[in-house]
Amino acid sequence: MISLMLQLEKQLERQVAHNSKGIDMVVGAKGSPLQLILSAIFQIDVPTGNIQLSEAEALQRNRLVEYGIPLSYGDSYELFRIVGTTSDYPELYSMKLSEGDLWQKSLEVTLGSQVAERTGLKIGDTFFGSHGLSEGGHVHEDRAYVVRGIFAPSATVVDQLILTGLESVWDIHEHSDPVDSASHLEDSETHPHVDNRENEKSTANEKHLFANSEEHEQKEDHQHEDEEQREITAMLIKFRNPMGLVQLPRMVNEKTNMQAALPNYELSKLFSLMGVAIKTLNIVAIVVMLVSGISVFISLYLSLNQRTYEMALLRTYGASRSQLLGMIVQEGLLISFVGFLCGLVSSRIGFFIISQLITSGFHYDLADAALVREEGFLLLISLFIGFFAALIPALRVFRINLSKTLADA
Amino acid sequence: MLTTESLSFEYDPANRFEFPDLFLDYGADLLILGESGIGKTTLLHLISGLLRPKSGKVFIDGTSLSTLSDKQLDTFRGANVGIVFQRPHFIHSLTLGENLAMIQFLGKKKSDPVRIKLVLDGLGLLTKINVHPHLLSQGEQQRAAIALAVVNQPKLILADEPTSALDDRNCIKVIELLKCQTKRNFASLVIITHDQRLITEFTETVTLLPMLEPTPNTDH
Repeated sequence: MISLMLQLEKQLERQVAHNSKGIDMVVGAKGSPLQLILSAIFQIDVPTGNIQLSEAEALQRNRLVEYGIPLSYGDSYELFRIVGTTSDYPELYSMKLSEGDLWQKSLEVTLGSQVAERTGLKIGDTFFGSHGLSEGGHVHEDRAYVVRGIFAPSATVVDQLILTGLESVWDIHEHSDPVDSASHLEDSETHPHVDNRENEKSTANEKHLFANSEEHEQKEDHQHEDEEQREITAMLIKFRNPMGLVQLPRMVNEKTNMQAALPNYELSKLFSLMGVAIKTLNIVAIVVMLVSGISVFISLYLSLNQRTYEMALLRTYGASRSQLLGMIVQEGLLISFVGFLCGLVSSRIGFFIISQLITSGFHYDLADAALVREEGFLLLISLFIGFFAALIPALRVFRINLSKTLADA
Repeated sequence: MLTTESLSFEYDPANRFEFPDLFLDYGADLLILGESGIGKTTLLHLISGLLRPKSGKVFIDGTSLSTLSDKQLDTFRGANVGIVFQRPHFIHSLTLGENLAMIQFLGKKKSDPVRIKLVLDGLGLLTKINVHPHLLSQGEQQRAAIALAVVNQPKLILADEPTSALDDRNCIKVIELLKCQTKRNFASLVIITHDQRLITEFTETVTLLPMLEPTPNTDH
């Protein structure tokens, strides 16, 4: 169990570090900073809302920002998120392509390795995305995505994502419903467009009911308006120098409609919360170890009761006391060692099972099954316990009264 | 090669034993007779060094056992004394061959598979070399017990009640076997028993009498 805990911790830390490398700050809609981090970097949890593209771009031009990567998400396909972004995003994670290319035109996508595996989509296949990040969202059936490429596995969050250009996301939403994309998360039944979809392609005078009462007139007009109103979900920022850390977050939080969240800070908070849970589990594990140490002791003790005659016999044939002592201690150590190995294997298996169960979970690399340094301590402790459990039976053997034992046979 | 002097032992003040002095030459045999409870097993344990006497000395092949430390005593016994126990006992988890190999190891003798086969063959047990002893028949187990005692070619072979559970015919057979093996291994044999049938088989006998009065008597 302890080994399992250690592995989980290690994996978690690695995943977090890996995914948040190169990102100093995230800006998005105001709300919970942790939610923003989780949704923008790890693609867990729903976004806090949208921000104006123009505001984000203005921030990108700030002299303290080295780069900013826009993200637009909110749609999904078979539970995999569709993320609109620029080519900087895959570059951030040093993604390599295993087949095909990066998306070029609107509505072309490149799939993460896990997505390709689970959905079976191949280059050239088309599919429809649906609203929202859970099942049963309104499907955008008029516009299909087409697969342009597939990424190689990277042990980062991108493996679970479907990447496309920002334009794709805008195009999709433009045509069916130029509504604030945050409201896409509503139940599709209340969405007015479900009824009107069939009429979409007809006259320009079609009136739709929009939450913000924009009118869907000519496509060109509409597009023009949208350009000014275009929104994205979040932007990942890297500072040019440490001054960025000092000035930018405050500026964003106080002077704009966006909020800035710092990944390192939020995640440290999260980890310290988790730390409590992990400590508790570790205590349980230690108790289990002690109990098993006791059971090793008891089984050695009992088995020795039965083997006393044999022990005496060995003495008769010339075994010295210390030889017998050594034999028993070795037994104890051997049991502990084998137990340790079994424990290691079980924890690897347990870990594997757990990671399968978590869908947005860890892409577990078997090379990672390597030993954590703390597991070395675990080995020493196990051997120690084995040694002490064996000690008392060993001493009993040491003090066997030969004559009595043999005579009593 | 075996000499005892004024041996006595005390389990507790109510159970005291004193034993007659014994003298046994190389290659000679000795029969020690006594009723149950007279201290036969105690004597055997004293002679083999499994017990330390309250007083007196035991000399085997010129070495006084009292001069040896516990560890040395264990080693000495493994090399020089072979014991055939009343009821055959073996290391349960080892085969017959492995049991013998174990005894060689414990007696600090070199590992000698040839010797093992030789001994087993002489007892008609060669085919059972890879069998676990507890699976052997009783007669086979008894012979196996003798094999365990002689494999290290000890100078002294002690047998504790080897014939008590046997009928007359088998009794003779076992004694023949013991004597034959002893001769073959150039050892001396001491048998401790209450079985009167054995008297005719031995020239040297010592009878242990209650109240600690030994009467050494020699037949013919």
